[in-house]
Amino acid sequence: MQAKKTTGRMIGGGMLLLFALCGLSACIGSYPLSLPDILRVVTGNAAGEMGERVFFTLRLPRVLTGAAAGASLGLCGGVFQLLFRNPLASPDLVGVASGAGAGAACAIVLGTGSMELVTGGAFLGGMAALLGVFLLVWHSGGNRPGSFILGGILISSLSDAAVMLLKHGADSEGKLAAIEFWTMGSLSAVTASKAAGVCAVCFPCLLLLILFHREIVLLSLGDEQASMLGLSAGKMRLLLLTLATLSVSGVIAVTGVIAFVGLLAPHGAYLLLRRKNRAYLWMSMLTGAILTVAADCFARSVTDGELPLSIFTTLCAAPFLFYFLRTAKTG
Amino acid sequence: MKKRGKQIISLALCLALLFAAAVCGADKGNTPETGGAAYQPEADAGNRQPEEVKAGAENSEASDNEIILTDQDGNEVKLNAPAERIVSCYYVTTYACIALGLEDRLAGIESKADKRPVYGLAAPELLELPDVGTLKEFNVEAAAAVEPDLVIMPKRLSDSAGALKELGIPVLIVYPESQALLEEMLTLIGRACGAEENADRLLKYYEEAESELAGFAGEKTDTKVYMAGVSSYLKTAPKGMYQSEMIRKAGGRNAAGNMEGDAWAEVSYEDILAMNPDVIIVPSSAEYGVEEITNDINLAEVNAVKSGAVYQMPKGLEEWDSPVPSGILGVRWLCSILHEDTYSREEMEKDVREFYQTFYGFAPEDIVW
Repeated sequence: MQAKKTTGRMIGGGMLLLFALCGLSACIGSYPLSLPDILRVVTGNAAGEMGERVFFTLRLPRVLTGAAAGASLGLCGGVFQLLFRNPLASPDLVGVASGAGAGAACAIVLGTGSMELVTGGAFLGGMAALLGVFLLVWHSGGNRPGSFILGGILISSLSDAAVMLLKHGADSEGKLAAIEFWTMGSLSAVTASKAAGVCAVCFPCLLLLILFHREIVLLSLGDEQASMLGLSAGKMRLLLLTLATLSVSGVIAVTGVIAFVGLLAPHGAYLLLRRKNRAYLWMSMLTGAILTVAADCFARSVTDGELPLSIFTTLCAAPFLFYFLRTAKTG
Repeated sequence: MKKRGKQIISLALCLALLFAAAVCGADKGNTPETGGAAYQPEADAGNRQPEEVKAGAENSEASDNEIILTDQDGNEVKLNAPAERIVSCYYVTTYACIALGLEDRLAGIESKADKRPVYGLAAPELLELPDVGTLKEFNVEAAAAVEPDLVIMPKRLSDSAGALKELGIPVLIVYPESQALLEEMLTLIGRACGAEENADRLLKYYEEAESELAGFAGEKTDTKVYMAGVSSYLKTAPKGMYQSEMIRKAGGRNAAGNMEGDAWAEVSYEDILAMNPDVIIVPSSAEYGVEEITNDINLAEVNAVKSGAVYQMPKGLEEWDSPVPSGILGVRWLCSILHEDTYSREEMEKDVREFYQTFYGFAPEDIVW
């Protein structure tokens, strides 16, 4: 009972922190919009029309997309770690991030490079990577967690080789710069229509993953135990991985690759809760959202321009990874 | 069993939601709300080649002061009156605004303005204007903050155009990747800002200068010119690049003229030896100097190196080897090198000073020839 209360308090505290960060994030930007200005916009008493448009077309969608992207990466990271029973599992490990990167690079170099094409390319690339992993696992005749990770590493390497080839053929000032910037993640190009796209893909997937929390936790006990408890392990894993990949691809397609959130958020959640259950999935989602929104605040405030998100998420991940390294050594 | 049923229903509902949202999103993306500017992409805009858009500059004007143009990305741009507050997102369009006498109307320009010596010489006030970001990272909010009535941006930034149009800000997309497209861009900007006369004057200058330079070259147009890249001299301009056109107009022959492509192409020492150019040109913004080429033992047998015909384009003003309004001066400079007997260096320097005095309002003193 006490543990439940503590968990509830932690999730409540996390939600308050996320809310505060979203408020702060809504006030940061080149267009002068202070908190009182935003309150006037929200209550319909805005002095200027442009301020209102900037808030509803750029600022609010950016904050929402940051929170949705972080929540999606965090939850999917947690799902991957439970399903693969591997603390290093993340969307990157199953090849989704690399596949999406290769898809986007294809659209930039071989296509016109328009945002619609890059988004579509990243999404298709991510899904194709997952399909490739499934085919490899199916062809190898195994359906074990280790097979998925090996398949993911193989597909990631192939995707990286494709990106290198495309980079080689890209012109240094235009397309190469676009690929580089896209692979570092940013929310600077988010508008209302793109935010709607991210939410339309992420929310149903996240909702379903939360609904399937029992199955996810059962699969984390191992296929045999899950089967003994009446679960079709192979089919359920396929369904859950597809949902997670769909969500991650939808995010990466709009924001680019945001490094380490999928790895760090579940570890943060575990550090706080010390157990892996439904609350762990909620906490992973919350931690991911907090990390991404906070990183976006820094990305817009540190210099006059804007820095890629992955710089901050990686800087944030480094001390955590060092801590895990030390814990593993002493443990 | 009941639980399973619920899950299947929720899956079906969510997939339906996903589909509906995707369809709505697609519709919204195709019809952005533009407020002051009508955005009506033509059905075949995506398939049109830049040259085919040329008719855009000749669009009819609507009632009173309303201006309707087709930009170089095939989009229709509607302005209620000539633009008075302009944001320029690209140094080429900022140069164009200066050359067309529109510097006073600029309300925001691209980052790193202090790296462009011409801004300080022609219109120092530009250095104080709000910065709207780079080609790599355009800042939509910063552009919106200056409340412009026209944003001029290159095709490479066309993704950001959608966000500006959603804010109701008219956007003119340009693609000045050849002399013809540069001229079209100048005409479009001139019309959008009511500076048609200045645009016509500049275009007339180009026409007269090209015919004058063709006369200097005469029949002697077989000198092989190797245009070295900005980051390395083991890169060159293939036949699709602006630099190839510059060499031809100056009365020379591009040594890499049989190479396909419209971006800097990598070449090996062997390739350069096989081309054996008579003249090697180093761009003004190159990250290396003439000495590095002349001291490179691997290039010692190349004609240009043997005869000392390795030249760097003048520094301290603009990138004359790129499609900027003063790009014609690059042709003049190269012509004076290839045909010194008919077009002397002194004449060229005089013409350069006259050009800047006429179109930019200052006489350059600090050019590193």
